[in-house]
Amino acid sequence: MSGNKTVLGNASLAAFDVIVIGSGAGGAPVVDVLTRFGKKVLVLEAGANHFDGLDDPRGLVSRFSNDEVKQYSRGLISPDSYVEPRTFRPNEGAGDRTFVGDVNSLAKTVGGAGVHADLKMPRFAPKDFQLGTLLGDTFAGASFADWPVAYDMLEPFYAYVEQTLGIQGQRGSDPYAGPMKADYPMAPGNKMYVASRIEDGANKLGINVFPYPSAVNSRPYQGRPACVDCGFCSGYGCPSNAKGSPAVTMLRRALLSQLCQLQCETRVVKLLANGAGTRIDGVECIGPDGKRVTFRADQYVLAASPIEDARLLLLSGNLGNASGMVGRCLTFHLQTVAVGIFEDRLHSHRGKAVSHGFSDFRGVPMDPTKPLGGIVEISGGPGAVEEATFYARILTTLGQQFDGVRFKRLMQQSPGRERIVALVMQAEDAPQLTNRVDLDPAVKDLDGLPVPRITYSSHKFELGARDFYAPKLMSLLQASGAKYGFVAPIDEISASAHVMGTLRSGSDPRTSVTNPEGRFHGLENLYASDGSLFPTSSGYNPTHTLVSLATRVAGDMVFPGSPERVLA
Amino acid sequence: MKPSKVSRRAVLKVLVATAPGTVASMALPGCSSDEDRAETARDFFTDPERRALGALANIIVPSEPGAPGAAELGATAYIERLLTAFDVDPPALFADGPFSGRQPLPDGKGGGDALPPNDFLRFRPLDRVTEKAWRIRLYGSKAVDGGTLNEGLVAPVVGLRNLFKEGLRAAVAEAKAPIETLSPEGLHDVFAGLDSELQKAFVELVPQAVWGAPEYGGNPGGAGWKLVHFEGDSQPLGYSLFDEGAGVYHERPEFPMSTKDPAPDPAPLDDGTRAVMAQVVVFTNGKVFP
Repeated sequence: MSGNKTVLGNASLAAFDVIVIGSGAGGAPVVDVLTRFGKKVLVLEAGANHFDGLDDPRGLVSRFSNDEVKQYSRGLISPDSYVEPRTFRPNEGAGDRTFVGDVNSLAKTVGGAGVHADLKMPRFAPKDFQLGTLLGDTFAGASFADWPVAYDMLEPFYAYVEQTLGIQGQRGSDPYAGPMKADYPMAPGNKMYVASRIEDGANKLGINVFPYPSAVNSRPYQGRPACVDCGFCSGYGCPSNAKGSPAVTMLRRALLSQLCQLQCETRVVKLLANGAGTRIDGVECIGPDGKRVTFRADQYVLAASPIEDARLLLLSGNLGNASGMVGRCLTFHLQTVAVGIFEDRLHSHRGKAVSHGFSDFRGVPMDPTKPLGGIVEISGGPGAVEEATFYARILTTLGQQFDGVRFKRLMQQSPGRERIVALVMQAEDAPQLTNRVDLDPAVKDLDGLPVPRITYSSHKFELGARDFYAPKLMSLLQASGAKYGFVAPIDEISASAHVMGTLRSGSDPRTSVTNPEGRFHGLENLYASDGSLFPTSSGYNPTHTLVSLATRVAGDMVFPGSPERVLA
Repeated sequence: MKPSKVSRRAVLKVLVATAPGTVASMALPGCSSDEDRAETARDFFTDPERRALGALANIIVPSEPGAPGAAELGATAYIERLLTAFDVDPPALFADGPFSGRQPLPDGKGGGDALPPNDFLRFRPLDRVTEKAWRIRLYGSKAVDGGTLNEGLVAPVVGLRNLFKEGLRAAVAEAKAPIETLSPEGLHDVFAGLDSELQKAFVELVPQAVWGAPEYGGNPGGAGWKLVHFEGDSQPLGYSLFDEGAGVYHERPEFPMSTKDPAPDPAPLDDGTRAVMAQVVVFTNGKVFP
């Protein structure tokens, strides 16, 4: 079987200062900062590489494409539950598991979930970092906590990331956003027609629609072209690299530095600790050929995603878990999806998945008239194969015999692609100690390793916000001229790609896993740098904060106590 | 056959919520039987099986005067190519990229007419983990070394090859006449008599064939896309054309992104589609707005 290139960057490097586990939005910023300051870095990525020339200054070619079969139907970069299943149960009383299969898996590839995401990049708001103080113990069963990092501390990192990835947006257009000291480097791109139609309704209701900040070029930027709004964005790697994913920006810069080596298709399966359990001495991996290999460095960074980070620690003998908090306070965003179908064609499959949104439903802490919901995305329609899946499942659910003629008419008339809009509220998910990742006691993956088990139930905190805002979303659909409107039922197993928590950061080692700089309490050379650090989920898309926080973690590794020095 | 969670397009939320059996399919009981790995792309199906496959695919997308059905739109070739994907190296599973050559390169002046080569004609190599997953999917868990990961906890995977081959072989043998000659009612009876997993496979794979990229064997010349007024893959031209001299975007007049389409609606909603939408609204406690 012919294979991909599995070693990128400087293949001659044999000794490393730092090993980074994961090459996505949490790992790439760390690798970039460390190599800019002279560190030799080994990146271990479980997935395959689909960029040619990622480590070649002469050119970069994406191997992603506008191909629904490749990515939507066959899942090129999705972990396959036939060999890498996860398990789920709603609570401990439900038994060992109620489901085996795909549970909140993120893309597994060089560049991680930053490759397939459409990279909507709003910042968190200042109050999002203070919910421990602002909400306290008001909501029984919830475990809100302040972040050990305040908005003002993160602001220069936000600005750095906006410039480095290339974020389009309009400063000041979101009245609920925190202060920005600099403009976005690019103006907003083209507006989707469907966004204009929703804005018409929003204006009647006093809702403020604004251009959604996203790491997508609206003009040629740093050698990458302007986005052409091809329509295959969310869930698809970018064919032209107009999407400023951490892979083609930060990771590429690191690979070109000659100080970085990236080993793909290499699963880290165990962290090797010293006898006292105070340091990491190495990592055990399964390489592309299925053979075990060990790598060593002075420092180690976990950036494999919140669920896989926690799993790895548990596979490594419950490392870093003196607090008992490893894997706990797993959060997603509770997505409330209000779907509108219009009489006329909106061609909502053209463009980015989302060009505009609004924050009016984010809410105000402790104000019962404005519960904490989240930013709302004005989302377009899918491609034809995904659309067909929608109708097929409707007809299968509604009818005894498959009505092929109606199926064909649905595809031709296209209520689910040409005439659809989805208003998606990404609501704050209350952290709960009982929502957690641990190891399934029996189910194994293809290499015989216990798989992660997700125990998760929504809290009445976010369910209440959904009940409050869902009718308002429906009113907006009506005001915008939709003919049909409905709110999609809640999935027991969240399909959200916003995965946070599990290695909560904080100052108190009794209630947190990592310190304010991302280093593990009690493990002097192990850090985390991805969404696992988030004490709370906010109600905004997490990627911008994730990348900015990872940059700060790396900054503190280089300049302890003065991480902002790496921004100079 | 592989529910993808990578897309965050919101419509997926509806799909998952309305079809829990799909995401739970791994836990459903299945059956195992001998696997057939000797057959190749050329002779995987016999001619009668191939004709039966086309006729049954037409239940999903029927043939009508002036509007082709699944068989004419390549469903048979798509499915046969999937089932024999490992007969070539790299396996014919994931087409390469970035471009298909159907759309021109942007010229930096707000247009473009130079076509890039078709990268979709090649296939991506598989890594160790992905290869094992797809061998299990196609050949069945018991036919793959190490494929029965969690015996006793998860039902064995019946390979798609065996599912189609045995299902069609039996259907052809049991039919009183060549399946492609049966009346619509007779075809529906045959379809209803198929293993339920095979019926699900038809419902899932036929749309992929008809509306996926032509390089996978179906949708010849984009005829499936034309049938449903879909532009197909749009890269590298896309819909917003950047004029580097002026620093602004232009839109394609016939396919604008920011404004209403200039052409009349080619297929307005009819009463049947309105009825389906109304049922969805009832199912979800939604509303038909006045």
